[in-house]
Amino acid sequence: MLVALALVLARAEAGGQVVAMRNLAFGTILSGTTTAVSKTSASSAQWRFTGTFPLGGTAFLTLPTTLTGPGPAIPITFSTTDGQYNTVNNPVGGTSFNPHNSQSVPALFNGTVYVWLGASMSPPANQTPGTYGGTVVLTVTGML
Amino acid sequence: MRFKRRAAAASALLLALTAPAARAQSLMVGSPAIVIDDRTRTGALTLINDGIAPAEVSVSTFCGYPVTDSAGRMYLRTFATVDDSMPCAAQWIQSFPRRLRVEAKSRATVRLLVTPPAGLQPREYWARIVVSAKAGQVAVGGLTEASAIQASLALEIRSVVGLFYRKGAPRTGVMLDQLRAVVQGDSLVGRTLLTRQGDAAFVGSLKAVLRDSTGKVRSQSQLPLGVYYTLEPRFALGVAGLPAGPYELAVEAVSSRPDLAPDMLLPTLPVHQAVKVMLP
Repeated sequence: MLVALALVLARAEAGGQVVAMRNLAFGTILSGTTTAVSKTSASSAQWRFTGTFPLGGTAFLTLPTTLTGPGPAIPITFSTTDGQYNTVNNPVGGTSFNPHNSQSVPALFNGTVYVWLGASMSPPANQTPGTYGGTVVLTVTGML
Repeated sequence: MRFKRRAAAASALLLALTAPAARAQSLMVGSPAIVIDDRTRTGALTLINDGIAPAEVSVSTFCGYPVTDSAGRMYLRTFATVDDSMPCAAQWIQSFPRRLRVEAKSRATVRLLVTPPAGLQPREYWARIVVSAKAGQVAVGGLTEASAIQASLALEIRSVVGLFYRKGAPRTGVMLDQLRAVVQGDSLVGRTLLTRQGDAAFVGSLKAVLRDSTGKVRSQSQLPLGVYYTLEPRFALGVAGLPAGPYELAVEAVSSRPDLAPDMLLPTLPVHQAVKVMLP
């Protein structure tokens, strides 16, 4: 499915570049409610893949299940449609993908692909106030 | 009451405005593979940060090699523990430094030192180098609302690079078998079994060519790969618009890749296999 994306991923090295453009920002949220950041919103996580990626390879996201901070960890979830990619810098009109799945790439990619990621979190009522965070890891592996 | 609502709204707005700024972070690894000879036992990894933010980088190693799943998709199989039969060099590798900060628009070199055990058998040994990069910490400015919850996810990029440690004069080759293909939509999808020969990984490409009954090439593809034990990858050739009839599908395994310098690869003789296929 993500031929374009995958390719991209296959090589962050010579000729190709992977850029983490922005973190995923929930901003200020309320205890006891579910807050979702849409993959098409300006608060979603975003990467950009540019250049030539001649390797077959794989790329996958390692997604956290909780956000940690001063209080109990807050659950965070990613749906099967929370990933999106497009060849232009606009998620609208792009292609959805499941961020839980590894993406493979068999052929040559040349150009630019943008990738977005949304998520939802549900802090329980009376959650301890403060700043909570986690990390999404994008692993790029060439097949050699 | 109205004042409280306005104050809360202003607080929320302030927090939104003072959230960690988006700062593009980019780190390139200079080569997709590193070859280290037993005589020097040292190598280098060039890291290039052409982003606008510093990158916090860590370097680590693990054992793994590409395999294929039941559908022929390649993925990297990794091992938390390694038995004695696997020629894994991950535990012998030290990087200097292991952690570093690469400033924006600059580059850095990480030195790799291999310390193999005594009496090591001549052959090729394998490892994977992981370069993990996170954007440098960005200070959150402004006031914070003591009763509010703020949350964000940081992004980390890990680039996995192959490392080949060669002692003596390792040799490699590959054997092709079980070539077959079926038409799926507008593609001819093929698979073949590659079995590595010798005592080093076969790193190269699988070229596939579809010829018509006159011998004219009507479609072709190239799949870069690495064969450590066996691999049975899927490849696809576009056949949209080709007339129905008999064709020949030929595959060739060669020790060259578009992304690697020839001197990094062990030379082999090309290996071929061909089958007849019928396009509907």
